[in-house]
Amino acid sequence: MKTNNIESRISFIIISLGIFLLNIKSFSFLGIICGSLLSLLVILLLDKLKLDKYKFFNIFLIIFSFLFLILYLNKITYFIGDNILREYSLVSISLTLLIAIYLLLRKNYHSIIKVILLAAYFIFIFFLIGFLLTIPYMKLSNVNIHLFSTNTLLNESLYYTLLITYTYLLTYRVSNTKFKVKDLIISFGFNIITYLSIISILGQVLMYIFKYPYISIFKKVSLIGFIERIEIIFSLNYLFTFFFLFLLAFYNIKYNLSFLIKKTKINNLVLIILTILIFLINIMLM
Amino acid sequence: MKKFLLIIIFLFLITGCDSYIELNDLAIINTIGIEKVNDKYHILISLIDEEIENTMEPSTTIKEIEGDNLNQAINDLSLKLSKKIYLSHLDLLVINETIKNNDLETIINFFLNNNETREDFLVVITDNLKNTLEKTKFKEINNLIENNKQENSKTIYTTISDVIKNFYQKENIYFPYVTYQESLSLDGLITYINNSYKKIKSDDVIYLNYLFDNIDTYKISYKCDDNKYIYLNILTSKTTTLEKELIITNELKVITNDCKLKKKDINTLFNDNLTSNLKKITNKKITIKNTIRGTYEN
Amino acid sequence: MYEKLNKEDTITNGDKMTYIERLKNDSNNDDDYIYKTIKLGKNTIDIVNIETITSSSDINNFILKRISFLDNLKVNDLIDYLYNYLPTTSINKIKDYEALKDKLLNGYTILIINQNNILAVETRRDLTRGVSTSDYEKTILGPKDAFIEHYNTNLGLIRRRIKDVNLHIKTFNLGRYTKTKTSILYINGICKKELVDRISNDLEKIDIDGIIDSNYLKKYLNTSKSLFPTIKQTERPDLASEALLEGKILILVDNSPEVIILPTFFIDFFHTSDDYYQKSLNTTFIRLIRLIAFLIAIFLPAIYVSLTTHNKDSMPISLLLSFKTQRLSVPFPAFMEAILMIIAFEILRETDIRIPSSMGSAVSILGGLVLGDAAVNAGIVSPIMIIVVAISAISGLLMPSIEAVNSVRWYRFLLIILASIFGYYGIFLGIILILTNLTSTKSEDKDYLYPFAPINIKEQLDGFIKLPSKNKKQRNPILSDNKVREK
Repeated sequence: MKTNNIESRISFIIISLGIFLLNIKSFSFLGIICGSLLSLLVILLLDKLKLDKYKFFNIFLIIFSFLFLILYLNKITYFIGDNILREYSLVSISLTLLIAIYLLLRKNYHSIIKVILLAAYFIFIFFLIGFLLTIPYMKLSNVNIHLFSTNTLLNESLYYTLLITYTYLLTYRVSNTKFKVKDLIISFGFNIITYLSIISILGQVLMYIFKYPYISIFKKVSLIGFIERIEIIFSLNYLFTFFFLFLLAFYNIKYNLSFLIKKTKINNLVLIILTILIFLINIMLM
Repeated sequence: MKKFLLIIIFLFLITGCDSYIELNDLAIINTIGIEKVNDKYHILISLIDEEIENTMEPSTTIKEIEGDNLNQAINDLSLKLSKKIYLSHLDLLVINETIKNNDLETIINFFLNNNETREDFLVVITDNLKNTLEKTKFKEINNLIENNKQENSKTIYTTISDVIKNFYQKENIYFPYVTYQESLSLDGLITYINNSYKKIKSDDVIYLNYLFDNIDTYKISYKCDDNKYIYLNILTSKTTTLEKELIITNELKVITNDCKLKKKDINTLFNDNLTSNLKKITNKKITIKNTIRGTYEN
Repeated sequence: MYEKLNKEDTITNGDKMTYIERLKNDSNNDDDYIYKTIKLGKNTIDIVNIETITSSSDINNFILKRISFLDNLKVNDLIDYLYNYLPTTSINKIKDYEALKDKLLNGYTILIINQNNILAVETRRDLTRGVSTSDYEKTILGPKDAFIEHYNTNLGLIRRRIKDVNLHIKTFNLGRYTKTKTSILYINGICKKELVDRISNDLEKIDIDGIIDSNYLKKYLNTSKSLFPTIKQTERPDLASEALLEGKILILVDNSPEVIILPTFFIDFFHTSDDYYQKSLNTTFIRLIRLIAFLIAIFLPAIYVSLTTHNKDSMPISLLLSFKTQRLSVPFPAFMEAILMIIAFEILRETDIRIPSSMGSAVSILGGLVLGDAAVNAGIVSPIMIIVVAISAISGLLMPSIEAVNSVRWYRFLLIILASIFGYYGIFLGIILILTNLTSTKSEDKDYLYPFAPINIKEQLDGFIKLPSKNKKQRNPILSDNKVREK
């Protein structure tokens, strides 16, 4: 029986924003729209199928999540290293991230999504403030010219579908929550607003040149000569979404492992080993 | 919680707080000036002084360095300083006219790859780097250009991100042109096309700004009789660029109307003038819509 | 004849003793025990009371006066007579020595007739002060009375507000020596039954030598490791009655002017009783101010430390230069400076609480001067640091509960340490830690952060904001099954 778990639904919106921002350069305006429609179909299909019965699905998700974690730990570490802590050893940043994640992972899913829910209040408020602050710098002429990016539309929409479907698996499936189309629309709204504000402020060229275009837009904000240099607040705000994305991906491994070995509780030792493994691979890749 | 604190303290001991630098150990760089002399980069840097009395207009000192490339030169600066080079509050980049194509790319790449600087500082071109840097006060150039942009639209506030954008789109890059002969003055724009600079007079900049939808406000006057003038204040302006057409909507305010022109006449006078000037820089069809407020004869 | 003594009651010398003798023995002949023997014909009446906790005029008027009218009555008649005709309602027949001791120590006067039959008459002396105004939960609007150290008075203050037979009381005597009267108050029909059972269980398990104050009960009722208090205490009867009507439980402890309210949510520490006495818009405003003050109290010093040490690029140049000039002559790193100032403030605050008020002004003048002007002039701290710490400290004091105020400072320290190591990233880690800590906290098995996580939009209308009461007519669903509050 599927429940109506609001916390999971809000987590879906937040981490889909996170996963979108980390890959923002791969998308174009049309790609996002097509991708959302496609992901709606895929998610509805997945919602009908009961894939939990099959072991291969769990194994596939564990491997996918593991690769995802290795890739994204790097991205998030560099995000912190470039925006918040310059000249800091990247190893200690990724180590502290993993420690914080490990501490949260020891709690159950319910505690985790409650943390996400509380942070969601901050994220939504700052999202709104950020949007309002950047409105004066938007130029719609930047949007009209470029609708397509260098990728093909099919590639873009498939990629977007993959990402959104993955966030669906991280939240709805784990919590056994009823899927609501409304949530997908809201998440699409957040993503498209972010995308539009970035492309209308920076234009396509700068969006590709700058490493973190979603932070760069806040560098332009300057109000009454004093409210300026606020990008660090927003980089913290987006850091929350990345962190929770990473956290839930990690939780997904734990959840699927418990399915595989048919134990309700995963030993902490397994988690520690996983954390260390991810950390070591990450260091090698860095 | 306790475990976490222990881990934190452990990390504190092993990393030793890499980026923990007190404010007073910073050499805050306010302006960088770049010129090229005999195939070498000659860099002037204006540092904010240690003891400041007025935080709004602090005093600065200039340091000079030379190097084969930009990175090396900036790094060599630390040989002359006892403090950490701090570029995050860089306000202004002054480039001498001597810088040409490849060098501009080097400069862009330097600032693009440096994650300490931000992408919002002003870039100007000058004829005399040393005078401009040494004899101007803190933020004087910034304020000069900002005021001119807001008050009469006779310049363009070009930040490094505009330079980067236009450079990669292979479009013209417009820089404000600052000269220092006896005092600081703004001398229109300088544009960079095909490896060479071309000057644009201050009066023509307004029409360029029309093209870029960059008009804040300006005042304009037309002579209609011997000693009679009509003064107009352009309050707002919006340009929509289409493929073959420019649509400009203006809000005008009549300040003095000695010639006692009618609303229709003011409109035609303004439109004719603007169209003829815009024709010089663009081939597109121009449509102008005006709303006129203020005193005019009915 | 004597009542048959138990084996335990025999004294080592083997003699069988009268009640009076045993009492004298047990109490080591303390001189506030008053013994008096009256002979009425064949009958003897031994009267025992403890002078310090009984009212001698009551004994004279209601017991001795009556007895002096008596003449030769038979034993049985005498007991019946005394039981029926002594002018008091609280008179008990007692069977054994333990009960005798218990009553005696509770301020009763014991009448032992013919060393055999015992009557206990209530002659308690009123040892408490009268109902006075609230000391630390001050409000401008609303009632001014506060609980005192007297159990019955406290109960009376609540009964005066809730005149319903459904206000139930479950009483315990806790503490092996103190035998403190402790009771659970709840409204039957509003409060959930399992909550009452849960708390009763917790109280029954207590085996300690003494409960001196309601604060002693905290460690038995609070099982979470969170720094934030999961128990709210109040000295305001109006707040206590309000809590009862919401479906919460009160714990009244004799000799304690503070009543425990259970379960307590995080948001309760942002509410005061006069929030409900004024317009909702004003309440919303002041609650948001409290929230902002709370955030400032926790985050401001940490933000300052990370601004000046790691994340200088997020300051405008004028602010950066201003900070820089102020810190020019300060020998300590910003982190040390912050810790020093906060500790100095805590010392000042503690001194202010402990010393007599006649010395208070001297301390505040000295503290203010030394920490303020002199420290800056001597170049030990920067003026901006004093401002930061002062704002943070004052904001921390805005929380209506002293325990919440005290827990805020730990978070402040934690964040300062994290900020000095990792800058803003440390603050981020700190936020994650604090949120994790708060979300896993429970108060009596209820989620501590209730209307926010898990989410309940309807309840949030009386959270950090307050909409007019017409929008909220139902009780909190996790506290009560009887949802209709207002029709």
